[in-house]
Amino acid sequence: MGYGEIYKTSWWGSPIQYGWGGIYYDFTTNDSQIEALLTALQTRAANYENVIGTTEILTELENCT
Amino acid sequence: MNLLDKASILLTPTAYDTTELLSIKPDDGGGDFDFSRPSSAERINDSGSFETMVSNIPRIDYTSGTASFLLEPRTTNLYLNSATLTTQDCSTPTVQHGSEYTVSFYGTGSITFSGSYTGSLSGTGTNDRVSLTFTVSGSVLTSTVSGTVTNAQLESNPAASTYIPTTSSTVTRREELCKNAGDSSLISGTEGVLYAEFAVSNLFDQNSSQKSTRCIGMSFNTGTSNALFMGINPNNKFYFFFKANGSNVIFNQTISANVGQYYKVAFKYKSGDTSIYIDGQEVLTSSNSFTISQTLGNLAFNFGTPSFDINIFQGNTRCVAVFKEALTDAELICLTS
Repeated sequence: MGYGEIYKTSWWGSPIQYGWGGIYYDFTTNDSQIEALLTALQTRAANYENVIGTTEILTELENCT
Repeated sequence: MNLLDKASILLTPTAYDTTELLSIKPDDGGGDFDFSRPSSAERINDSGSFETMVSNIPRIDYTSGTASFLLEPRTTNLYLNSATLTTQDCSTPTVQHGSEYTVSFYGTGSITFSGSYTGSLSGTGTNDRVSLTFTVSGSVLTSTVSGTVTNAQLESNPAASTYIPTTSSTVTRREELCKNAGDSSLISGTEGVLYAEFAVSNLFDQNSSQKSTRCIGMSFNTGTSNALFMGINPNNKFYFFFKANGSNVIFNQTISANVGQYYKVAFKYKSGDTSIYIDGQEVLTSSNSFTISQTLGNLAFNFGTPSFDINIFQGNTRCVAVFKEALTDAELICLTS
């Protein structure tokens, strides 16, 4: 595997705020809209749960470019 | 732009209110679903415990260990005092879908059946659910209990549905409907993609005279002359249906599917370039040209419209998304992988 290829074929370098690699999330620089979407949903929901699972789904979509 | 940016409607198993299942996109509620269930129902919550959800509250279920939105048909638990079962007789008439019944329970005891069915079912643990599906011939089933049998259920279904507690009489969990999300500003009438990650159950709408296809789709508000649906039919074949201006663009029921298995399915529609992807593979294409003559304004967990409910989806869903453009092959592979 060439230099940097790991970032294209795995989640290395792509920590999820409430999931995989979350301890490193604050050290990343990105313009992700995930947190804003979750906050907006929570604001208008009487019942809100499964933040980790939802973040994983949104991250997968965000990683499809 | 990434696919999170591009989704016009995005549903995840995250948020709900009474009579509403909330979509994460758009954030103004325009993609929220109407939900109904005129009775309470149980779910397994994120702590792994039973939790009673009152009428018209959607269920996010964690039975498999991960969250999914659960839809089930109307079902009656025929056992009395189901929390700790005792020996009893139950009526087992032939119902409209046939004579299949399923018994399920937790615990280390066993049930020996006689009358309309002869056999037995043994438990494997306090927190383990076991089940047995059989065909009855006769009107009364005797269930003789030995040992500890808890949260027991006898239902006229070809599989066990979620547990329905009973005391001195039978209890019916009513049918669940989820529909009427979006409008023509969120669903394109020229090209787009409907995506879902789902697993169907071996349960079927009891209001239908026959076992029906379990569908997710979008249509014109009052008919199916312009409509796009995907699901799994009663013979466990994928069901793909896309009709524009009354003519079929794709109608296919040839690809095998498994009950209980999650699939990521994307249905791209574009005149001359329609295709379907399942789990990263392109499985169907159509080069037919078409013109959608009415707006696709209603996203639903059925094959229908706000005014009638047929081919209702039964099973678990992790994600539903609508895109207002025909995604590229690379995007569709990424989406469904």
